[in-house]
Parts: sequence; C-alpha cells; structure tokens
Amino acid sequence: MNEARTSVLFPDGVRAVNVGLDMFAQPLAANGASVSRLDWRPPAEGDRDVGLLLARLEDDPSDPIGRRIAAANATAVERLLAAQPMLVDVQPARTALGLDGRHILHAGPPIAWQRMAGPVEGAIIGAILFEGWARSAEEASALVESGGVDLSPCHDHAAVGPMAGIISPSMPVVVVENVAAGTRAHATLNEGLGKVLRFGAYDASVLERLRWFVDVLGPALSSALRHGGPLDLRSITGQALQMGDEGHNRNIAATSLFTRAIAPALVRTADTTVAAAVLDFLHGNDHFFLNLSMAACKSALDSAHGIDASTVVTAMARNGVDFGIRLSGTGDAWFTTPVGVPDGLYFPGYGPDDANPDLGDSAITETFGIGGFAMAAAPAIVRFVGGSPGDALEFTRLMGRITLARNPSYALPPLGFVGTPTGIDARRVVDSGIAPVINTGIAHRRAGVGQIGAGIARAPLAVFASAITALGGVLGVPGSKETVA
Amino acid sequence: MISDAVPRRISRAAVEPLRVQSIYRSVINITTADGLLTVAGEGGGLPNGIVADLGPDWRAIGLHPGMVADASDAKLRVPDAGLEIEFAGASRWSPRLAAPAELVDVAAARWTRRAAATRAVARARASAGGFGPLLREDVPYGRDRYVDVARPALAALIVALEIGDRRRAAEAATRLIGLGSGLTPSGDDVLVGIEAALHALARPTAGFVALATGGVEARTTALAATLLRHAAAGEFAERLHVLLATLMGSDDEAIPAAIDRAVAWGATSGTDCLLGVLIGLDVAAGVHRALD
Amino acid sequence: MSTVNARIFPNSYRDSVELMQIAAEIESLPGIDRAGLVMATPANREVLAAAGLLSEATASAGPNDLVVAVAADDEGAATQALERAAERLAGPGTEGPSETTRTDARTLAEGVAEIGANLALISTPGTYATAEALKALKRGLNVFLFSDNVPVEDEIELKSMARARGLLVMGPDCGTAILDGVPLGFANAVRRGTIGLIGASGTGLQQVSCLIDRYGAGVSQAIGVGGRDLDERVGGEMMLAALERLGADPGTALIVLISKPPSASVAELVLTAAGHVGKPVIINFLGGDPAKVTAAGLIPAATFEAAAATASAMALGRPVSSDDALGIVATDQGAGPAGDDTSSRAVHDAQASLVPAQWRIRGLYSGGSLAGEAKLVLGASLGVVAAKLHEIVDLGDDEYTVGRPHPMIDPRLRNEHLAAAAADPSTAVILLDVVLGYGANADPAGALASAIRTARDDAARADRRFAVVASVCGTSSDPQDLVVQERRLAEAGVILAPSNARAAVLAARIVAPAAVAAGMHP
Repeated sequence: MNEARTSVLFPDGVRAVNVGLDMFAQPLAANGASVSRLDWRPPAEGDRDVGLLLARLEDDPSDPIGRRIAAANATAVERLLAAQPMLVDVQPARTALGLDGRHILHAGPPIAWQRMAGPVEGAIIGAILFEGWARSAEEASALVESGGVDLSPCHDHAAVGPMAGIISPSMPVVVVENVAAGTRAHATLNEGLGKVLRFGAYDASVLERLRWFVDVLGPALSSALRHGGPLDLRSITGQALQMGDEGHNRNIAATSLFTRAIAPALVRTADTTVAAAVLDFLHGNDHFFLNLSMAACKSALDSAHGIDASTVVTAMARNGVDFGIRLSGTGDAWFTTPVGVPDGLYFPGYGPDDANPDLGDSAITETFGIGGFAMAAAPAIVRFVGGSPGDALEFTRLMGRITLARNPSYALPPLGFVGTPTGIDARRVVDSGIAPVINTGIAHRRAGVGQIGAGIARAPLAVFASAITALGGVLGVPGSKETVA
Repeated sequence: MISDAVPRRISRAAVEPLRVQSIYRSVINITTADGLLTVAGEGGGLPNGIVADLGPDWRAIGLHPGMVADASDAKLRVPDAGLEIEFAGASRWSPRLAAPAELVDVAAARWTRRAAATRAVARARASAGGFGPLLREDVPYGRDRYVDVARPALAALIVALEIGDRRRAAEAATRLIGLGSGLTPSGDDVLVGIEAALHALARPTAGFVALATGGVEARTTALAATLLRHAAAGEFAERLHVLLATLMGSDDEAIPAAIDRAVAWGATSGTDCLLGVLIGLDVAAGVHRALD
Repeated sequence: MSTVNARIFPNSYRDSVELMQIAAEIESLPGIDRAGLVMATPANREVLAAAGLLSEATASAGPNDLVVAVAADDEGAATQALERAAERLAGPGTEGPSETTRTDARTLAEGVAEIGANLALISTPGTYATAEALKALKRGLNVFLFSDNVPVEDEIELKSMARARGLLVMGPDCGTAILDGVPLGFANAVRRGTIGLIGASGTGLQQVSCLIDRYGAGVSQAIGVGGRDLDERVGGEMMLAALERLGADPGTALIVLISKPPSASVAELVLTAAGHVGKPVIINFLGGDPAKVTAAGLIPAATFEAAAATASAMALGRPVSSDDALGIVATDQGAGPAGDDTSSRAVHDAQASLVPAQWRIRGLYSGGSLAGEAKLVLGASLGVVAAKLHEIVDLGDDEYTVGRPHPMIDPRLRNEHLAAAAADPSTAVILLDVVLGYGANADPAGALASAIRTARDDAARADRRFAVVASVCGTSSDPQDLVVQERRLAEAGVILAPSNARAAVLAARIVAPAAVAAGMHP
C-alpha cells in the first residue's frame, strides 16, 4: 500500500506508571519504555469509598472542584510561607484571650472532665487552686464535677499549650502576632522540667512558681518587649534550626537566642534583682522557647485556616485521650480518634505501662513543618527518641511527600538547605498511608510525676480520612457521605 | 539480652558438654543436655536464648557444627573459634508470659469484640504457605497434604480445649507435633501460639502441651522441641509477648501492623504461630469457631 | 512413568525462608511433577509415605534431617533436581531475594512526578482500580486497565471522562495492548507495520497480531478496549474513540476490529463509524453476520486467521487467496492450504491410530476467545449440532481458576485436565492453544510436552493412542521463541497448525469419519 510513517501515539515515548502487579512493568523496560514501579498499597487503609473520594478531590484544571481545591491550597501555602510571627507582649490570659469568669483552657480537642487523663485532671485542679476558686484538691474536683468551671480547648481561643496545656485567667500568656496576616496566638510561659503544672503537679512549689510568673516574670518580659520592640520569632527559629534545634523537643539554641535578644531590654527596664531572677530562670530552662515556638506556629496556621476547599491541615493536637486534627476547609470541626502511647525511649525505671497516651498541643510545631518534620536539623534527637541519625534525615524526606511546599525561611543544612516540609495535605496522607511524624515527650499517666521518656509518634491515619470525607460532603462531591465531626 | 531460662540450661551442662549444633546468618544453636540454647542477632528475646551482635554474617566467624562450647554464669565460649560472649553487661528478661489478673477479663472482653475483624486482617496478610490456609473457613481438601492432616487434629484439639480436657488436648497435639515444613514445623508453631494465648488469658488448660512433650525430641526438630517445652512452661519469645499485648491491648489501630510484623517471622513460622494465637484467644475468650 | 527419588541432607543449615525458596526452585525444574522439602519428623514421614514420596533412601532419616523428595518424569530429571537441591543447600546461601529496582513512590501522583508519565498500567484489585484510573485521567494519563470486577457504572464514568479529555481507557478487564511497539499486559513482540488493531478480546488480539507477524506484515497499534466495551450500557465508547484515533493516524493504513458480536444498536454505531474512517476496516465479529458488514462497505472476516490474512495481504499489496473459507496468504514459508501434503499425512496417520470407540474432540484452552473460535470453526466444519457433542473448555474461566493461577501462567491446571482427557476412552483428539508472549509462562510447550508424554505412556498401557493438535500463538521475537516452542511440541508428537482456526479444522478432519461411523454425526 502506501509508504506510511511509523505510527506514534506517544511522541515523547511510552512513559508508564505501574500500579499493581510487578509483572506488568517487565515488558516495558525490555522494549525501551520508561516505567515507574510503584510500591503501591490501597489508599485510605483499604477503604474503597474514601479512596474514590480522594480521586475526586485531586487537583484538576478540567474540573470545578479540582480547580477550587488547587486554588485554595495555593492560597493556604502562600499564607503559611509568608507568615511572620513576632513576639509583641506578655499579658494575663484574662486580657489577651478575653477569658472571664471561671474558664479554663486545655490542650487537644474538646473532652469531658470524666474522660480526662491523669496529668490533665491534676493540672486543672492546680489551676483552680491557683485561681483561688477552691481551697483543696477535693473542693476543686467537686467544683468541676458540678459544672462550676467551663472547660474548652486552647485552640478555640487562639492559644496552644504543651502537655496538659492548662491556661486559666490569671496566667500570663505570650502574645505572638503574625504581622503578615494580623492573626494572633498565645501560650503560657514554660515552667521548665520537674514538678510542673503541665504534667499535673500542683503542690506548693508549683503554685509558687505560677505566682512568680504573674508577679515577676510576666510583667518583666512585657516591659522588656514594650521597650525593646517585638522579637522576630521566625528569624530565631530559622537560626535555631541551623544550630541543632528542631523546635519541639530540642529548644536550647532558640531559648539561648531568645535570652540574648531580650536581655538588654530586660536589664534596662527591670531592677537588678528581677533581671537576675529572670535571667537565672531562662538559663535553667532549656525549653522556654517551646511555648513561643508553638504560638508562632499557631499564628501562622490560623492565617491559613478557614479557606474553603483547602485540604491543608491546620492543627494537630492531643488531650491525653484523643488525637484531633483540623482542616483548613472544614472550619472548626475536629476529627478525632483515641490515641495510643508513643513509641520511644524511657528513662530508667519507667516503661510503656507507666506512660500516658500522647498529650499536648505541641504537635502544632509539626503541623507547621518543624519539630519532627525538621528532624534532619537535629539528628542528635535520636538519642532521646530512638532510631539512628540516618532515620532523622529520612523522616524529614518522608514528610516532604505529604506536604505541599518547603519553607525557605527554615532551611535545613543537612539536606542541602532545602526548607522544612510545610503544608500537610490530608489527601496525600490518606493516599500514601504516610502518617505525620511527631517528636514527643512521654508523660507519666499519674498526675504530677512528670516526663518519663521521649519518642516518635505517628499521627493516626483515621482522622485524616474522616477529615477528607467531611470535606467531600461540604464540597458536594458525588458519592460522598454527609458527615460532620 | 539473656532469657532467665538460660542459666538453668547451662547448669545442667556439667553433665554433658555443650556443642555447636548449627550456624545461620544470624543464629547459632548450641545443644545442651536440656535442649537447645540459641544465640540470635535479631528478632527479640527467645525463651531459650541470648540476643547478641556477632557481626553481619555469623557463618563467617569460624564456627563449625560439632565444636565444643562451654558456659558459666559469666560467659559462653567456643574456644576453637575464639568466640566469647560475656553476660556481664547483659540485661535480663523473663520469658514468662502471664497477664496481670485484673487485665484478663478486660482482655477477654476486648478479644470477643475484635476477634472477627482481627481474623479478617490476618487472613488477608498471612502467608499462603505453612498452615496459613487454615485461617480461611473454606479450604478444600487435596491442596496440601500437611494441611489435610492438620485439620482434623486441630478440630479435635479445639474441642478438647473448649471442654477443658487437658489429656485429650495433648493427644490431639501429638498429631500436630513435627508436622509440616520449616525448621520449626508448622504444627509445633501453631501449638506454641495456642499455648501463648492460653497463658496470656490464664486459662486452666494452659500448659496442656506438657502432657505431650515426653520424648518429643524424637518426634520433631531440636529447636521445635525446645520451644515446645518452654511453651508448656509458659515461656515464650519476646515477640510473642509483644504480639499478645497488642492483640489484647487498648489500641485497635495497632493490630494490623502487629499482624504484619508477626507474619514476617521466618518463612511460615509467623503465620503458623499467629494461627495458633488466634485459635487460642478464641478458645480462651469463648468465641466459637468452626474449623471444618 | 513417574520416578520417585529422595535424598537426606543431614547438615543443611538453611533457614526456613531459604528452604522455601529452594523448594520452589526444585518444583519448577523441567520434568518435576511434585517436590517436598521437609524435616523428616515421624509426622512428616507419614505424609510423604501417603504421597508416595518415601523410599528406601529416606528410611534412616531422623527429625533433624532434611529430606528432599521429588516425583519426576524419569530418573534423569529426578537426579538432576536432587543435585540442584544439594548445590543450593551446600552453598553459602542467599541473602534473600535480590533488590528489585523499585521506587519509594507509593502513589500515582509520586510516580507521575518521577518520570513525567503519560500512561498508567493498573492491575490492582477491582475495588481500588476505579480510583486509580480516575487519578490517572485527571493527570492527563492514558490508562491501561487490566483489573476486572469494576462496576459498569464506573466504566461508563471513566470512558466518558476519557472522551472529554482525549485520552484512552483500555479496559476494565483489558489483557492486551501494543502501543508504539511496546507490549502491555499479555502481549507479543510483533513486527511493526501499518495494520491497526482494536479488540475487545485479549487473546483475539494476540492471535491476530501474531498471525500478522507470521504472514510478514506488521502492526501499527493494537488497542485493547476491555471485555465489556461493546456492551449496550457502555456503547462501544472506546472502540469508537480508538477508531477515530487510528483513522487520523498517518502510520495506520488499515484497521481490524475484533470482538464477539455486539448488540444490534452498538453494532450499528460501530459499523457506521468504521464506514466513515476513510481507510479499509476489517470486521472480525466472531460468529457475526457478514452480510451486515458488507452492507456497511466494510470487510468481514469470520476467523482470526481470516482477519489477519486479509489485513496482511492488503498491507503487503498481495492477493488474498480464496481457496477456502479461512483465507490463506501465500508466503515464502509455504503455509499452504489446509489440504497440503504434510497435514494430510498427519490427519491420515492420526485416524489410523484410533480405535472405533474414539471419536471425541477435547479442547483444553487457556484463551477464552480462542476456545470460542474453535467452537465456531467446528460448527462450520461438522455442522452446529454435531459440533456441540465435542467438548471445548476455556480453562481460564472463573470456575476453573478460583484459588489457582491462570493456565497461561501456570501449566498445572491444564495438565491435570489433559491427563483426564487422555484417560477417557472416547477421546480421539486433544486440541490445545499455546500462547506465548510477555506475561505468559516461560516454557508452555515444555510443560505441555511433558504432560503429553506421560499421558501417552499411560494410554499406551491400555493399548490406546490419541492425537494432539495445537497451534502456537506467538512470534520468534517473543521471550519463549515461537520456533523453539513449536519444535518442543513437534518432538512430543503434537500435530501443529499455524493458527487456531486451522488447528480446529485439522481436529475436525481427524474425527469426522469416526464420528460418522459411531453415529455421532449425520
């Protein structure tokens, strides 16, 4: 017949992704085609309906929902990367958060008093005693049981708290403002290690320290800030990540940089005794910056929250019983599931039987791409949480597969100065089965004993699937169920 | 890390010398008058053993089967190969598996709630070899001769355990000892799994295998015989402790991963052991299953 | 005659995983029927004995000794297998399976990013296949969808989305395609040329493409559309899309459509569209009405061979011979008409070897469409009523493959049926298809030859012979090599035909006199 040209369907060559049985990949390589053989497993832990929903939520310029989601996520990521958290003041929670009456905030998603974990109960009792609403632990308990105290999550009040995360009206809180978006977030002052309220202790020494915060530390820091001007927390965090911190479990570099930054103003505004006491306190508390780090992350994430159709995760938090997340596109809904004890290394004499399930709002750091996500910056952490230094780099790389961007403000030298993986996309978590990694302290399950170890926890996959399902319902994706958390 | 049972084994060595029996990539077995002593590099504590690190490939350290070994409270040596393992810095662990009394009822109730789902996960992820097919209810006869022999024996064993008849259970167990492929034949692995579950839930039938272990060294491999004797005494490998703790624990989410880990033991030992554990838990918690 | 041999290995220190690997390797050696690799405990010895695998050699084994026992075709094979086992057990041992060059990427999104993909090959369980295909289409990928058990609603949605985006969805339940010369799924290494194939049947595509290669012509593209594409509800969506594509393709000079006959409405859609393509289109609707095809200005082909022959002749500019209903191309290889000397002699010899009680054809097929074609050809040769008395079975059908690998991959299922068929005193001819190519067994002819020899020996003891007729669907460029495979079968006394249709004709010719004599046929 005719001299036809060779038929070509793929001008750039056949380039295939093999999804499923390996045998199908064989003939391709043998015949000059490129092939990527996926290490595939069913998405959503095998739930077909969620898997289908995921497919319908893919970025897709040819589909209205696919376009909306892509645009929403782009906005969310832009806001996350542009965030510039600044420490502007320290104020009583009553003022800064509008906390009036008998109102106490706690870490994690909402939870009833009856279900609360030991350390959280203890911390609430301690706060009640501190506020003077009762004179004994029994009275304090009775007060709560009779409904005399309002309990709600810190997250609902523009705040975050480590471990039990208890905030009561008199407590001084740091005020962090994300100047790029105008969002503010708050956290208490970190007490240090040992017998502390956040692990549920409430003896005289604890209450005394809290009083000192109210009377001395809070006002001193506040004056220093007003005199010397706001402190750039993004800059401190960025430097600290290059000095061996990761922003959750290792905070010594950031704490040191903070102390150096505030010391001159402190000395100029406080009398010698106070300044000395404050500097002594900061010197003895390696984790002081943690609470600032957490508030900074929250102020950034809140600016990316509430964007319709966005699948970016804007909060991960635990209350010692449940693990909860929030998604930008589903508003105030929490998606929760019971949480387990973290895998980790225990201090001598302690073991998993002593541990409280994962606790605290500090996973807000991982939500923003530091903490466990930045483990590559702090390979030394593996000595405390288990694993090898190679694992630390690997975790950061792994988290890169479930996030949408890298934050150039937080560059990681061990990975060639690539930025921290930022903007967790719930779709990617559910599709790949790669759960966010969290570097976490392990608390004793009895109130007041304190930290008994440290470890690496993986967020439970179920909550991401629930969040995706809810988003599907909100967007009216065909075939999705109407669910509300 | 050393099992508490090891010193017992060593003290009886005065009667007969210890000898190296076999060497694998990361396992050495040493015969003693009281059964096998195992030195292993990974996989957690063994009831009859020592966990140590002797390098990437133990077949390359100059040991040969038959070499004489000696042991004391302080160390294990194979002089001809220049091998010495000191016990001084080692941590001890107890291979005894027993759940605290107050947890037993909670665990039994938990198991009743999650038995069907767990079995479904096991069925999906278990290996198709060994007695894995017995995780399904609809296995046709004629596919695998070892499975065909095992089925009625297992059915009889389950009935005997359900009615609490230790002697009959041991009789059924005898039909399973030494049956199947692997260095620890599948039947033995299943029995170990069943015993682990019975001990974990503190059932009176726990230890029934002891009635079947008379002269067991003639009926199965040395390693399997050793592990059966330990199982009869309530002593199990660390990984079995962990598996049972997870299956009876509070975290449903952790079960699929635990099953994956269990299935990865050996070639089919993990699946076979898991089958035994599931059977044992069902019996102990009163969950009825038909095998045929 | 089956030989049993076993050996004890007292000091073999291999862990259970290695033992399992060695057992698998021994079992797959040529001539090995069964192999067992177990510790010689009393319980296992009982099982071995019941399986006929215990022998004197194993009498002295104890519970700590390893026994390797094999049942093989002959001494040689048994000894070889035991030697191999000895080698593996004595050696330093493997470190486990070698690392496959596999990516970390788990999701389609990651895979696409890795290589800038334009095609997704999906062979996940049906439950998950739709979601993966959706994701692929949304990223602008064409989809080869091997998975079956995909709901028809999903298929409709996928194909509609594909049409809107100008992409192909080949499947669900699509086993074969060849795109730009690259074989996908179960497909053969076929010469490239100007003939475009579009098929709803995997083995149909394989047979037609291999015959085109045999006749010296070549394939531009072979597009599978999935087994259900021509169903009323799907409306031939992909076949129409592929027709459009190949119609516009400068590298395709003519097109062949392959399927079982669709419903009237879908047939009309397809024939109309084919009529507007502007290139010759050959319609191979197996068992369909040629008159409708001709009326649409298209070229009917009753069999796969006819389709391939006609297309090849047109592509090569040669005359199509109309010697018989099948259509033959005169090639240099001298694949002459069904009445040529070689095959006549074979038919005659076969007939002479039968006894009067033997009259039945037993077709044992691994390819569903090939079985279908065989039934049609027998119907044409012997008459529809008579043809139904013979037994043509598609062993790839679900009822046979529950819990077992497909016969194209694993020969054991068919070998069992073959032994049973040979043992039946009414069997005159066993009719087989042997499919080569990617995805198929590494040596289907070897496995069959072995089973055939055993069956012949068994029958000979009852003083009976039977004929075996087969066609090999493959090319000399296939991994198994057509030439080698045909030789192995010939050495086992198999009567070979160049195509499945021709093999069925030969089988019919062999049994015709006996069946008439036995009163089975008019």
